[in-house]
Amino acid sequence: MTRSSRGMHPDSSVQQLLDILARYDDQHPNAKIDAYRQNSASIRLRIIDPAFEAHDRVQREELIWEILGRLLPEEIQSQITLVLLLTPKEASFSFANFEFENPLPSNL
Amino acid sequence: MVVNCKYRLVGKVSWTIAINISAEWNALTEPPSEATQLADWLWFSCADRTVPVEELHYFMLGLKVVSEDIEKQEKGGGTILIRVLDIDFNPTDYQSEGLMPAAACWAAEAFHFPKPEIIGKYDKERKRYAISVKPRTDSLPEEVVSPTESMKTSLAGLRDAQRLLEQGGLISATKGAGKIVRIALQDVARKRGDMPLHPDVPLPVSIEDLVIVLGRSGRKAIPLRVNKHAVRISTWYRDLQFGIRPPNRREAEEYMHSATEVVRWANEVIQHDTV
Repeated sequence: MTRSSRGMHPDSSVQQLLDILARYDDQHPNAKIDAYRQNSASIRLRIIDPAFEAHDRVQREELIWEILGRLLPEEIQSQITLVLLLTPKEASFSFANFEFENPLPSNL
Repeated sequence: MVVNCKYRLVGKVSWTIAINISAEWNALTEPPSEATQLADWLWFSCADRTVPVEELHYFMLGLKVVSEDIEKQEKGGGTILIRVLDIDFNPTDYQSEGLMPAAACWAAEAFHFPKPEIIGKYDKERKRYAISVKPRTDSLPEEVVSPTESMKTSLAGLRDAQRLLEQGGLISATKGAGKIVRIALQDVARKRGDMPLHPDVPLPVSIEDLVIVLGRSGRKAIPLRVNKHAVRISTWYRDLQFGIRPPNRREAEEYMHSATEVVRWANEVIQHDTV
């Protein structure tokens, strides 16, 4: 179980997102949850969880958005621009994961 | 056939990522017994057992990104094994993620297709290069037409993608739909004056950046419901555009539904927004 942000001191919106996802984390002890602010208008979220093996992309999103839609203020929901939900194996071969790990500095 | 490739990432800062790759590829009649499968017909192995797993993953990702280009060049339909013989680099400025574009460039040389456009930007905060690949499908349209005209093309393209989906072309349908969403959002940004019409001026090419630009425009923002669909397209398209993790039918249908919602919204904005 890990929840982390790229920055030493994530802003309050990123922290709120991570705190809310603690509910998912509690039920999925092998999940690794990361989020960071890509720029002033964008938050990126990634969850790597072996339990996703049993779910397709649609089901994974339904699981996560159900929590976010219920608990996260809309103004923060609207800042989320990437929701990457992968198994550890998928993460190794995902270009999206590569971009999450190695974000280009934002020009926006 | 052994092919040697020198990959260099030279930026505005004082160091250069330099990676030399020596690898061979062979067409086989049967799948190899000890190799990693990257696509139905594409396999990978590394002769040097000391290369760390993380670095091999970056290398394999680079091959996956261009696997469709390799397939187009090798039309024999057989199995191809790519085997790395040696990876050499300058240790002082090395970044292991540089193996992703290096492998893609090696494949371009080995299979004779244009090298992908590598984006390398120095990240001051992280004190390293941030690296990505600009897909050729994201090239600008050669002829810039008005957003209204472009939207008509997008709506027609979306119908074509829907037909492809109904015929079972899950990959081509989702790829096409992702591209249409990007163009539709670009059209909205152009209509609102958030982006220049001149083709020489760089435009945001990712759906994620376009959503951000539109959210900042000061005009009526993308509704949260539509925004979620755009986030889905943006996230999935990053892999789908390279044929990575092809969708199952349900995923493709939901993806198409999301694309339709975003393009409908874009069309409404273009029809009704005053400039």
